[in-house]
This record gives sequence, C-alpha cells and structure tokens, in this order.
Amino acid sequence: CSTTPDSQPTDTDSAHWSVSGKVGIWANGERETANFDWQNCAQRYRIRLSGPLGMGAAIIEGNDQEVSLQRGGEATVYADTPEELLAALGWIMPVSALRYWLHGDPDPRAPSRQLTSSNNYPSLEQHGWLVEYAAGDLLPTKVNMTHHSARLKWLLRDWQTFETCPLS
Amino acid sequence: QAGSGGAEQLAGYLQSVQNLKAGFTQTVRDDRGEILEESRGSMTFKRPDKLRWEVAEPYRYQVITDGETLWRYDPDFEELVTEPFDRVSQTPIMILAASAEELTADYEVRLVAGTEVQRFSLKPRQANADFSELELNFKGEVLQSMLLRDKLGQTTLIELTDPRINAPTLPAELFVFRQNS
Repeated sequence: CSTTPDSQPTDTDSAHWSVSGKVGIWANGERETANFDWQNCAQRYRIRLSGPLGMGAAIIEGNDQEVSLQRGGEATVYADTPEELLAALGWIMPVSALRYWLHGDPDPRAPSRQLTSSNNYPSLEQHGWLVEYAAGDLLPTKVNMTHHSARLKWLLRDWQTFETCPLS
Repeated sequence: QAGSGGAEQLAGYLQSVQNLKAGFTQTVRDDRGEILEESRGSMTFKRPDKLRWEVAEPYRYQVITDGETLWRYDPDFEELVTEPFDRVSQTPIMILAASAEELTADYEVRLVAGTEVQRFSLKPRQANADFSELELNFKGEVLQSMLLRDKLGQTTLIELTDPRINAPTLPAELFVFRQNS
C-alpha cells in the first residue's frame, strides 16, 4: 500500500478520545443522515453509524493496516483503507484525514492550505476537500466539508477524552 | 401454520388500539449490553397508518405520515424529505397497524409470557428482514415497550412513558408536516 510521509504525532494521534453527533451526507445524488459515535485510540478507531432514528447500525473498525465494516445481516467487508471500504458503498468519506479535521487540524501526513474565512472560523483545503468550521470553541461543533459535488455536514455533540483506551 | 395462534391474539391487542399517545425513551445496546445510544421523544399513532414520531434529545428528528405521504424532517439540518408512504419504514411502532393476516404471513408470533405483562415475540419469516426479533410488551391493552434485536446482536429498547390509548379525538394536523416558524 502507499507509503505515507513520516507524520509528526499530534495530540489527536496519541490521546484517546471519542465524539458523537450527526452527519448529513450529500453524495452522487443521494441524501443520507446518520448518527455516529466515533471512538479513537491513536491509530485505532471504531465508528458506529446508525440511521436517523438510531437504528440500523453499521460499525467501521480499523487501524492503519486494515479496516472492516460490519452491518446487520451482511458479511463483514474488509479493505486496506477506509476510503476503499466506503467507496464500495458509494460513500465518499476521507476517514483517515477526518479524525484530524474533526479536531480542527489538518492531516499532518499531507500538505494542506489553511484559509481565513469571513465568519472568523478557520477553514482548510486538503486531499481535495474544503473543510469549513462553522461553530465551536475549544473543539469544533459544526464542520462543513465539500469535495466536488459531495458534501458532508457534521454536528459534533459530545467530545470526550480518556486516560485509557475505551476500545476493548 | 406454526404460531398463528399468537398472531390472532396479538392482532386482537393491536385492533383494540385505535390510537396511542406516549412519550418514549429509546436505548440502543451492543451485543455486550453496553449502551450505544439513548434518545427521548414523543409519539402519536392512529390506526391504521397515521403516525407522528418526534425524537427530541440528544438529536432531533421527525417522522410524520398521514398514511399517504411520509415526511422525514431533520430540524438540525433544516431538511425535509417527502415521499409516498409505505409502511416499511424505520419505525417499528408501525407494527401496531398490522392485521392478523399480515402478522401471520410476515412473522412467527408467540405469546411468551402472560401474567402481569403479556409479551409477544415476533420473528420475521423473511431472511433479509433487518431485525431478527421484535418483542412487544403489553400491560392490559396498553403497549408498554418494544425490543428490537438486530443481526449485529444490538438491541433497541423503546419504552413508552405515560401511554394513553383511544383518545376520543385527535387533531388531524398532527399527522401532516407543518413548518412551524
């Protein structure tokens, strides 16, 4: 798989954190809303996505080598990268970079451009995405991301950090 | 057919509910019983297929149908999806509208417990149904809770708070989406 430039670990990498909320997805003419719960320990992550009413869960679990997707009643799907996995579902979600973007940071492993925007919240361009922060103080609570015609709207409700990794 | 006795009995309970109004708390647990999601809201159902299902916390979402049109409104994203109503939607409460024939055709229904609380277990006959079992718990004629088990081993428990059945009148506009303010 592709070699990534050596990344300087940021606190996003080392800390154990979780965030839950809602994501609106506009991609190839489809419109979806999902509730999500994201748990992260360094390179390991577990993302639970459920329908707008909290049911019909899918679980994405992974680390830097492999990622898997579990959905009720279907065989688990594996892939090398989360992007490959989600592309199979027709979803466009830059998962690897997301864990930095949701924190308000660029992905340290790739070049990025940071822009100032009118609503005095920063925004950045990276991996072909425009990431605009629309609300939040220490950590973002609203983030809009666009990539060509795809759009992701994140509402981040419950940021938590942990001493020990919450992932069993 | 196996379990058709249970279906008739359950249909009897369901038919006695002309309408139902209640608050609800929803708790989703993973296969180890750990809480994944807790939400609260309120609902009103009118037989056969009018429903208002509003999630209030921690996120907001509304599913409203008058039996012809289905509205799904996301106040957080100010987004409304309107489509023709078909009963197969993400709200298990719509089981309240099922007839004895539908219950028998679609589920294996068994009355599991019967003293203070009557518990019915419904197992879909179709393999590709998105849940493996639905439990309905009645106290007297009033539905108290529903438990849905999905194929990831996760359970969704919907407990009704202060359920009231068969109110003499219900305003029709309850079952039509209206953009307030």
